Amino acid sequence: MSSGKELTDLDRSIYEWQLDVPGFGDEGQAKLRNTTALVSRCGGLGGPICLSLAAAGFGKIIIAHAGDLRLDDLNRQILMRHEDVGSARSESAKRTLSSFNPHVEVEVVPENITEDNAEALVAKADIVFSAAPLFEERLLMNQECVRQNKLLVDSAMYNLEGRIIPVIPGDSACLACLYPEIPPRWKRRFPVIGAVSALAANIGAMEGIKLLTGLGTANANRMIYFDSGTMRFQTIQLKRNSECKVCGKRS
Amino acid sequence: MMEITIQYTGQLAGITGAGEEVVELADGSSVASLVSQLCTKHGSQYADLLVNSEGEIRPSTLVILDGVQTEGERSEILLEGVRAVMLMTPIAGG
Ligand SMILES: [Zn+2]
Repeated sequence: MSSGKELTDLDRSIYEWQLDVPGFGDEGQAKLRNTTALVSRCGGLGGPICLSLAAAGFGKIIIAHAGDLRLDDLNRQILMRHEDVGSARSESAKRTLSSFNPHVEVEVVPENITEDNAEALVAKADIVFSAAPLFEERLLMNQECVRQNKLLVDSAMYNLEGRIIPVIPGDSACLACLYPEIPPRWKRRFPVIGAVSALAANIGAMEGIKLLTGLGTANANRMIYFDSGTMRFQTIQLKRNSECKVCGKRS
Repeated sequence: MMEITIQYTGQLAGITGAGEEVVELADGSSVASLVSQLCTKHGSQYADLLVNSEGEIRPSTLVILDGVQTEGERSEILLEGVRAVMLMTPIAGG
């Protein structure tokens, strides 16, 4: 993280109400201002993550997401705009973010995460928020974050449930410790109400803010699980897998 | 006998139609005996999510005992003193 940019008077005006949060203050704000976040896909989960990162005043958000906006994206992809159906999701997301907070730099990459782009994209970021609907992309992000020692927050949902896994490489269980193979029974099409993905997203965004600023207690080595059907929330103690192909050999 | 609460998440919750159930197990039961009892009770679609064709717990299905994830030879873990078992199938909705 470059510690270059100081807070400006404009920053102080925009973020005044969060500068009042005990344990956050100018120091926390300056950390976010100097942080670049990579968000893998900006759909039902990645979209609200981006919005919360922009609201919090991250310096730069890089969004990787392929494809054109479809009508059936709009029950959950709250960064998108109805009039953009048929055009690139990443551009629609950028327009929304830039009109919401023009002081956050937004870079869009109209591609999903692949073996070809993962390394270079992670290299540009200080923290990665992973929110793709496929384990292939999530495990690639995890592998690259561990390799490059970058913070990772992997947030996922299904039906009325969500789970968030913050990862500090070398220190806490990584995604591959838990999911050592691509789960064969996971299906790309999943039941979703937008409020549930936004809930998972905002828990993930908050975990990222805590990892970066030291605010509160970060949940590395714990999974946060919720069932919005009952509103039962739980934190689950995770274990590193000493045989993990991704992080097992690190100290 | 011991009584254990089984908590379901993801697709398992969809198949059982309930977020949790209480099961009775013989003293000395292991995770393997619990899983085999549950697969018999709930049928092939349930079993297919939880175990592979050899009957082993799928590597990406998490077995969480009283809020703590287990790893390694999970089938052999004895359930003595455990109150709740959470079975979590992998989810990646985004
Ligand atoms: Zn690992």
